[in-house]
Amino acid sequence: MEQLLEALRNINYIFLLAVALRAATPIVFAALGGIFSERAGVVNIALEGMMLTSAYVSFRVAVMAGSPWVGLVGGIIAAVLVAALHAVVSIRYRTNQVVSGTVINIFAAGVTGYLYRAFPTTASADYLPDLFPASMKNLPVVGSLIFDQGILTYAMLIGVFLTGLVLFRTRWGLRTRAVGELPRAADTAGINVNRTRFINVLISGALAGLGGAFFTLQTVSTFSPNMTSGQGYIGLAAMIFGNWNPVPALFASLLFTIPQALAGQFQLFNVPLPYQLLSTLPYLLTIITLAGFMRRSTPPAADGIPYP
Amino acid sequence: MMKGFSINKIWGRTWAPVASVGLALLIAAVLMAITGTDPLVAYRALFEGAFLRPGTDTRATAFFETLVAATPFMVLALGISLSFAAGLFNIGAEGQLYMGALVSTMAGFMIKGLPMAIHLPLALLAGALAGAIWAGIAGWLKAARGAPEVVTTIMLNYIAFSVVNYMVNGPLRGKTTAPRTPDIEASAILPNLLPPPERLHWGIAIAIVCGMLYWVLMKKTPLGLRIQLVGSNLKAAFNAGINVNQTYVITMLLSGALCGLAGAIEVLALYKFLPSEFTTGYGFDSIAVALLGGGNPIGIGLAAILFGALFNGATYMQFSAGVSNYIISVLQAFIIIFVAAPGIVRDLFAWVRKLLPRSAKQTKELAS
Amino acid sequence: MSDPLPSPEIALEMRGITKRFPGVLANDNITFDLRKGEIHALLGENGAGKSTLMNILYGLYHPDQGEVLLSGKSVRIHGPRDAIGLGIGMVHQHFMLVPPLTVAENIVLGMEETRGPLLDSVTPVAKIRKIAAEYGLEIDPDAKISDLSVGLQQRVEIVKTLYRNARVLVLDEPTAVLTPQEVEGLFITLRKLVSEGVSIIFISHKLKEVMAIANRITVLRQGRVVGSTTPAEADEAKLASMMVGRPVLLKVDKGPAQPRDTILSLSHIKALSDRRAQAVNDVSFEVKAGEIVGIAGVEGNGQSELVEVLTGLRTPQSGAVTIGGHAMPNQSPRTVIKAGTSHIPEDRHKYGMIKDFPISVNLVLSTFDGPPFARNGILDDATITKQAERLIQEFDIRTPGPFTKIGSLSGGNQQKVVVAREFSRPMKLLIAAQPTRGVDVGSIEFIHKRIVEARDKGAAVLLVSAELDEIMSLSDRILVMFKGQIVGERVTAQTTRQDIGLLMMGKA
Repeated sequence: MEQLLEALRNINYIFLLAVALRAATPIVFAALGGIFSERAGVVNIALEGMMLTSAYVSFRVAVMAGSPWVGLVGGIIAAVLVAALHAVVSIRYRTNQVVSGTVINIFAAGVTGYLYRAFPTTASADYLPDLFPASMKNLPVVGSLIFDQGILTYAMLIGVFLTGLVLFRTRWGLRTRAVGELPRAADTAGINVNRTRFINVLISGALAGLGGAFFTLQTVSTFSPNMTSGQGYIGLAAMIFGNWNPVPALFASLLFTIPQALAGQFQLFNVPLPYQLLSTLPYLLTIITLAGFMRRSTPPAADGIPYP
Repeated sequence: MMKGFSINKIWGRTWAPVASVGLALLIAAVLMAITGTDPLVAYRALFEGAFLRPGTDTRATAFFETLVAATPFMVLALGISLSFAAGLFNIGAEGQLYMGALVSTMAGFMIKGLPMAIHLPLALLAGALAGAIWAGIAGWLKAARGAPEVVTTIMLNYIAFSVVNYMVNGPLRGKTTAPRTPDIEASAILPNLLPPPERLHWGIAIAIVCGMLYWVLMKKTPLGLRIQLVGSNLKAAFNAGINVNQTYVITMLLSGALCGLAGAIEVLALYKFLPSEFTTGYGFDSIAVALLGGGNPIGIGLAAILFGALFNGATYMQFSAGVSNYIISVLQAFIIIFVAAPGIVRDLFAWVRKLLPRSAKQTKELAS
Repeated sequence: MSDPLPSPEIALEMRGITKRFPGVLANDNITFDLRKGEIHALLGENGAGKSTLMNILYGLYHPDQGEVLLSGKSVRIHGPRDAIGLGIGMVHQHFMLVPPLTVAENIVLGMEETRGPLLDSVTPVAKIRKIAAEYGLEIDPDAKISDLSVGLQQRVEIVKTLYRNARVLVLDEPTAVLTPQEVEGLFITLRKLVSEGVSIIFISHKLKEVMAIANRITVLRQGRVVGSTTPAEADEAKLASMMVGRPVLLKVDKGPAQPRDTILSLSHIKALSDRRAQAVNDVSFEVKAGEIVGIAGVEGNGQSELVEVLTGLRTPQSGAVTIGGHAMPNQSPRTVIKAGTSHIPEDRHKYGMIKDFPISVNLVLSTFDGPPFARNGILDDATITKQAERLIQEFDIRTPGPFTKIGSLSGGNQQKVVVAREFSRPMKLLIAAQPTRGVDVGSIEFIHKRIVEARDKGAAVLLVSAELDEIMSLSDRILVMFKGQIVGERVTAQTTRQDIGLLMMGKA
């Protein structure tokens, strides 16, 4: 108990926030992907599998090409291909979207697991470069929060802004929202509902691709099976908590990662807590959030319903 | 109630899964050919390893091993199918299996001095109960709070992994060098059906009984009808006076009980203690088995045997044909994509059929 | 009134249109023309093929045979985009408006103007205001659709077609959702549009309105053109028999009500809609055994939510419901049913039937879990089948057999299954919401007769209908609902359509 209070007194909370923001990166990308897909009316459980695929491919390609940038592009392309699979199965073949998503997650886990084991490697990928010089990172107070983030974390923040802009201020966004709320109205207005949905699912794949690359190009530089560990699902919970809006989804994601960052700090200060149980925090928080807020959220009216 | 069986109807329900498996085998064969393996050699080894290889003094008969592997697939897939019938997606079978394994292990080694007639059923029930509670949480959250079970069951998986990891490394750790629980008492061991080295155990019988109970539940009981009505049109079922929330909770309890039972069978019959690295992946593969089985117990049984055969034959294939046994996960991945969207298979066949006459015509033209 | 026939210049012609759906010949060699500046009514009962024909015109369906000519030239319409491009506008029966979007967003949808990468929100608003002023169709471009009344939403739909420069306007059952006074207003708008050179196809099954607005009338029955006429040459009785193929009883045969004990009573009910608006606002009334109480009102004034509260589908914020003397605390459909309530839901597809299950199961949806249909936890298939055969006979359900999936029946027969199920239980209270929606005339007569019989056998009947004619002909007493409140009560014998219509608009 004393150790706990001691730790609480000594934790650098700005640094804590910096850690939480970093950890939130893939969750937010998944949430943004979910927003595009579900605002258009396609439930996207497959984000997890898209991220996992991107994590693997961006690692492989980065190693082969010797460039993390090429790896990033490869990861995004791979995730978009997985998204295309989800789009084909759920839009073209009208399979239940939850079934399609689940199946694709199993598919992605199977294929990446196979490739990882069938072609073993000890190589590691180069990280994506830093955006700001080391001198700025060491600025007092906010250096770690603002300047010491990976490039994908900045991309994530820009992504939050752009998602809002596209969704609420552009033609594409208007059509997307119409298609997800009342597809028949969009259809009779001359909009190709399923094409709009298809492309939005591909966009969600690209975002998940960025989120997946975070694991191997910004965090650990190597791949391990199932390394996305449910973050795609947590992203969906953040999306729901944020009522399918990007900025609230960002804050919801931080809500999931701050306690975990705090737990990490406790360990640093040798507070005796069972780490296995602390690692369940994001999952527990996700469940609690869904239990508390699902009924208060309003999903797009046609979310999950195939058209026509 | 659903009267009238005909060959056509059975074929109608069978062609899609059969074609899916066939097509997936074809794709995996192409993959192997590209990577420089003869797929025919590999598949022959897979088949031998799964069905034909005889037993010896030290080695179990291949076919029985396939049944051993099929057992958890079948029990889990029945549980998962049950949730599908109610329109719920219990994709947390893996976590429920973990909790079932954990609690039945505890019942197996912590309780001492009971006769087998009491201890074994108790340990099995403890596992089923643990799985039921773990899935029931998701069912209750869905019913009372509207929380989507697809996400909560997955989250509960990760929590279950951590709980088992913590328990085996901490409070339940035995006095062994490797982290694991103490041995389960002999009175709680699920016995073998055949003498060693065969490992075929009574679990297969339990699985078959579960299948029969599943059939009775769905076809003959009001509860089963209620589950299916809720799964088919939730609002109409509710409007007709069916208690949807209660149905959700009951369904998840039953579904989780089966998954927990599968975990109990695994530890009580095969492991006989709970290891720290208790990773099976059965819970996810069983989603594929459930989809492939098409919601009926015979289909699920056949699909379970197929997956058991793949699982069991893969090891033999690896050492005799030199093909990575992970090709199996690719095979399974394609099987379930095709099962989920049978339209893909149909369109592919239609496309091939359209190509065929043309190429036949071309051959003729060339000949003349 | 009937206007002089306009110039015979043909704006649109549909020739030999044939469209088959699995098991149905929806349009059988239909030929139809529309003159420039006329209102041509397409009259027919539900399922006659009117909507199919218009959906073909709008490119939502493709005909198996036949062609469409605009100003004498054959055109191909592959989708709504083509139709819009050709100057065809359509106001669908179910409005094609996205509720959370604004009026302007809905109007520009599909032909948005942009400034750089972003939407231009200024130009369209100006254009909308101009159209509104020109045709007397005042609307606020920035209002959200979900905040507008049904009448205003219809106005948005009309402006939407004008915004797209429609010269041929199709209105599918446009009066179904309006009060008699609003119908008058619509007719004024339509005449104005016609005088500006717009040609209008007016789809309806309501004889009076067709007689009042049309220049010409074409009657469809079972996918075929039965004949064409004008209001001057025809009368309502003649149109009715053309439409149905036999003389029709235009009035329901019923004696005076003999009200007894109070069965349903509700006090101070308040409830929110799905979108969390105050849908039901302090509603209290009673229904007695042996009377039919009708709730009139324009759709969307809280009737649906009120019925959902009464049947246990929606939890009220406050207030109390008593059925047959039993208070219904935290009512669920189950407790409401147990208290002796039968419910014909307004949307049978969503709430009334389970389409992938056989008729036999659908007939015992509320009763299968107890005797005589289940004993000791096992279903008694033989008894369930016997029950189905009996009800199929009694309610004249046209089906190949009891094991046919209900989803494959016609709308009228599906509704008869719902009615049969609800009438097969002991009934103290009947809640019938839009009981004849989407149903053919034969089934309407049958269902109306059954409802009156239920009353005469001593049930309390609450009828909710958007069809004022149905309310007027069945109810003994009428309550009018407006903006979530009961704004008036009338004894049917002592009131008029006009009087009820005013109440429906909140003007009394």
